[in-house]
Amino acid sequence: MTEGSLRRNVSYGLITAHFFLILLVFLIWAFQGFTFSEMTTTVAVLLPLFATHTAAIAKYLVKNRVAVVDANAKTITAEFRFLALFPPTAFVLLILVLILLKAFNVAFTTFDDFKISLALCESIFGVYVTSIVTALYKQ
Amino acid sequence: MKRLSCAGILAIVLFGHVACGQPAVIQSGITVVFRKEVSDAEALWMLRSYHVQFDMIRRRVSRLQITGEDPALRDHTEQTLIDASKRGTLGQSVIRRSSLIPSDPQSTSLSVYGDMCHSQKLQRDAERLLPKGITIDWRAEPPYALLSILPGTEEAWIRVFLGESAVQSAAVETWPTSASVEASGTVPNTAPASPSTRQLPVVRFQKPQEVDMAGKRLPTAGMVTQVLRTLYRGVKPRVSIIKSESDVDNEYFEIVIDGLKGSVTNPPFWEKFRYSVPIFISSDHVLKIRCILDGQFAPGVGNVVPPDLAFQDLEPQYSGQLQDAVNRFVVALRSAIAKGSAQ
Repeated sequence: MTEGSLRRNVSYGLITAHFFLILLVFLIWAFQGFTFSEMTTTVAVLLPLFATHTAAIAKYLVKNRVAVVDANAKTITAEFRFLALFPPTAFVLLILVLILLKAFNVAFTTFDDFKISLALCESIFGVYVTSIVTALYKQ
Repeated sequence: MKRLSCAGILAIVLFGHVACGQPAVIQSGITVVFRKEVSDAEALWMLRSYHVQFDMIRRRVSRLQITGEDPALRDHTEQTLIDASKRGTLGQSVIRRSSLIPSDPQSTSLSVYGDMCHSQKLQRDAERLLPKGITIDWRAEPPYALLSILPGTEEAWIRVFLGESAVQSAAVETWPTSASVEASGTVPNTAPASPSTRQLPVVRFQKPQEVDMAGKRLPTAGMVTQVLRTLYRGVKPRVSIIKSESDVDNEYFEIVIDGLKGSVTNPPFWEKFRYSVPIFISSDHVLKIRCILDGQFAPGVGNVVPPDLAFQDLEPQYSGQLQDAVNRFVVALRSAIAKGSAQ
């Protein structure tokens, strides 16, 4: 896998996950899984979690909007590929699970517990995802 | 958590009368001992229905039997406990010597009155004051009322009261001089006696035919539960009696309903209601029932009821709907009581 194709995969994944999770929160609100204030709070917590990463990705994609065939594209190592794919995937899946656990009243006693868990999730994965996004998109 | 209540108050006037025509010359008395499950309201209701003047209804009485070989030590223990109650060391209880003579010659007896008299804490506090060689036996006694009646009518009254299902026993009372002031936790009769001094014949003291038994008119927690189940039929709520008339303080019911969705909220959230139904007799001798409804809601998809802490108050967002709900309940309860009385 080249750096370009890895960058593409991460771009699609993070941007899609960002909007999917926000859409999911709206849908759960529509089915009474959140009150209105809980829904707005959840969206407000989710937005900055992804915004820093997706903003960097979007900026890069806008800047490199013209397709250029790079004959000298370098193949990336398996370790970097793992590092670039696993933490963002785990990050998105964990947030998805947290939202579903709250909506179905399976895990959290209060809404505050849910908010704290989201913030904790950001703390756990933030360093990894930021370093990956920086390495791939900041030029 | 802020606790707001939506109080739908509909006074239900079930039956009222004025305790008039009572003779003023009261020279005799009887003691009516109620069964343990009789509430204040029920006892009051029954006594008022007979137009009898009563000096007090005592709800909480305990008998304290002190056993020990040394009579002097027993007397000392009695005095220690009485002094402790006067000083306030034993809560708000009042301890007095009892006229009851225990069958055991090595025992003496005290009476304990007051809200605390059945509590284990009071018993532990009292036991700390006991000298060695003395044991005490603490027994909760049924509530009783002291009635003032005309001399010569005792037997007729006893016959009348023994016919009441709420009454365990009735006996001629040797009036304690301090009967009306000796203890807390009493319900004094505030109705003034009639100035009439006319002596009524014994035959006039038969049970009045038009007076119903109090128990038929007072709603029970079971009746209230049934009314709630009917109101919420179709949604299969869980109804839990938190506090019923058989509890120690027996003056109101407290019923929690949960497992509901969308009976008040729109869009439908999980709901939980707490119905508090106090029953009391007002100063104008009318039995009134009030209902205080406190509700909470919580979001959630699926069938798992949210944990208690996830619930938030329905008010002020759903105050109007809560008011409607409590009104529906009181009207349904009134119908159920009227139906029960008619049967």
